[in-house]
Amino acid sequence: MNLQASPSLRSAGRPRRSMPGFGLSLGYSTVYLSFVVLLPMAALAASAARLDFEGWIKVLSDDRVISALKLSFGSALFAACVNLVFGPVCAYALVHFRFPGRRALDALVDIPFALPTAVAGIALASLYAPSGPMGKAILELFGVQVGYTPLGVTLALIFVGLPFAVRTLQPVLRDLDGEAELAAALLGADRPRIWRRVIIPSLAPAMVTAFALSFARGAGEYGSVIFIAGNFPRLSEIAPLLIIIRLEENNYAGASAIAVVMLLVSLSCLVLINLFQALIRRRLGYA
Amino acid sequence: MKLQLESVTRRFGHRTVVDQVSLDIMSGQLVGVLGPSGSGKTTLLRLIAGLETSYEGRILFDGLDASQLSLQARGVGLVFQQYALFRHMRVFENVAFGLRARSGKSRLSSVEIRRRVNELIHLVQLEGFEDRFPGQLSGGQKQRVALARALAVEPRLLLLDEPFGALDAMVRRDLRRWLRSVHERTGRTTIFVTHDQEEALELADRVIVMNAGRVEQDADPDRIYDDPASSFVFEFIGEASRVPVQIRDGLVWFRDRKLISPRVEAPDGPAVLHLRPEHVRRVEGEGSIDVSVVAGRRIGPRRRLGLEIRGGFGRLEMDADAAAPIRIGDQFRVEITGGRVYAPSQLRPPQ
Repeated sequence: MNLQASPSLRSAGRPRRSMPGFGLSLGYSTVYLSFVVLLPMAALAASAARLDFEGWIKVLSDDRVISALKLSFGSALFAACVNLVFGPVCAYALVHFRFPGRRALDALVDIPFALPTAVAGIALASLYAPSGPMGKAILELFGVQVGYTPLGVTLALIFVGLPFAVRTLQPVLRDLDGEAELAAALLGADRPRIWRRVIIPSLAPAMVTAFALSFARGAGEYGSVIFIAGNFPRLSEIAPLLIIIRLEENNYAGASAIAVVMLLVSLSCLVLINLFQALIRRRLGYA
Repeated sequence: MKLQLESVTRRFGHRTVVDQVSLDIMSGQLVGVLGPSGSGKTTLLRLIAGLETSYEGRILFDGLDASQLSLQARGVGLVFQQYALFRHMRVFENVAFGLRARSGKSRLSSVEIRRRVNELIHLVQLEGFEDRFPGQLSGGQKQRVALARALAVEPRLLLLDEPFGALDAMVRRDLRRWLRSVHERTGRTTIFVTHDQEEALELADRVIVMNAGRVEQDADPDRIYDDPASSFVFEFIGEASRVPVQIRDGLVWFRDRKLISPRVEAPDGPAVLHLRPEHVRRVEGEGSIDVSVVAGRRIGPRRRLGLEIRGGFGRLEMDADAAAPIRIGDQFRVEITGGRVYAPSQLRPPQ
């Protein structure tokens, strides 16, 4: 073998990466994700596997389970939609304008992140319960009860989801070309048109991400919801709470079954959202 | 469209960025606003476009006060320095944006829009690029999309902010020539801002030189080059050397020799003579100034020599044949054939 040729042979067979640490970082990520994510998922699946087919049917046809799942995902969906409106507006105000109290408002956005969820839950419950100040006012003015209803659940989910929407959109809005807006105005576009055709399309990928994060957080949210929800079975009982109830009944298989369903629904939602994300990125020329 | 500015002043805090600028720009003119960075030229352009709204003085569009006009109603086409294209729209949609934004009676059918956009894309020579996104275009192509987009709405006034600033020398030259021909075909009142004197002199019918927020000179390119109104314009517009001289009875003296013959409008006493390389000529025998060659660099077909005035009186530049046998260290005499002495009121500190 020609020794002089070997270095070039070697580099031809295995091109060197210019960024160091590929093996180490990938190896670490794989091990870490296995322990923290994959293993618990596998344990969950194993636990649910103890249930036979009839057991599954029984769990899944229980209308208490069905309404809890519907409530959790439905209100999370709705809350994510609401945050998709207020998130951009809030981020727009924070990015584009200088006003007294801007930094305070900016910090306020993080409160739902920082606050222990139970604290937030109790605060929301005491405000919006039918006897609380806000809850009472709304009940008297509009005849709508907020606390202890699905509406209360949604309110709590809007609360916990908002920072996801704002914080995802803020950097994108900051990088957004302010001159493109001015260019659009000089070309004769009015405000609604500028929002519809210039600002929102630029934000679209970030908005999908914001929606996904807000939705995922809402679907699994527990602490901040259970106080304001009132937890009436088949009305305002969320799926995570039902899992806890099953566990307390020592019905581990039943709890796992609900958990597996939640996992599958969440996973398919995220996959759908990512596909949608890829689609709009391609359509809007980001790819 | 006729554009008038009446003592327009724009301040940012204590800084006056545009200072008492008055201009009359006639319909169909191609005007270059030239100045170093920080001279207020971009702010002036933004004031005319309506992007800056707080100013003193008046801006009139065909005699109407422009402060009453919204951005949408101004009828101004602006090509931004960084183009500000809509990144998520293809070239076609970028150009069509202004046409689609119209409402009511002026709204065009989609067939008509397609025809107009294709016409413009042809004008800016971007056929075949209609379906590209801005991210897939080169700088010069983006520049042309920005121009087509601005022209699509048939603006009364076309403004360009450093239109060729970010492009390489060859593309700049081509686009300059091409913009000139677009202007000749469309006849639209056009104002562009630049810091490149060559660009301004080559492209514009009329050049407005700005310095520190003020208009230093407003004239056609020949006047700007041949008869700069102040020492600032003289030095900004081309290569310039300065020679310390004495004025006596309107005559210019360098030590004990009389320099240029025409009398100058300057008070007696020490002054500075501003020269261009073409104002310096080598002479045999009796000359005015003894120099030695200290540098030489090739500029096109000529060689530009750096000359030191012997005795430590400063430096001059002159052009010589590239083939001329001149070496660094050579000594000879030169005479001065032109140049200008500015009165104290026309002197500006060099940049």
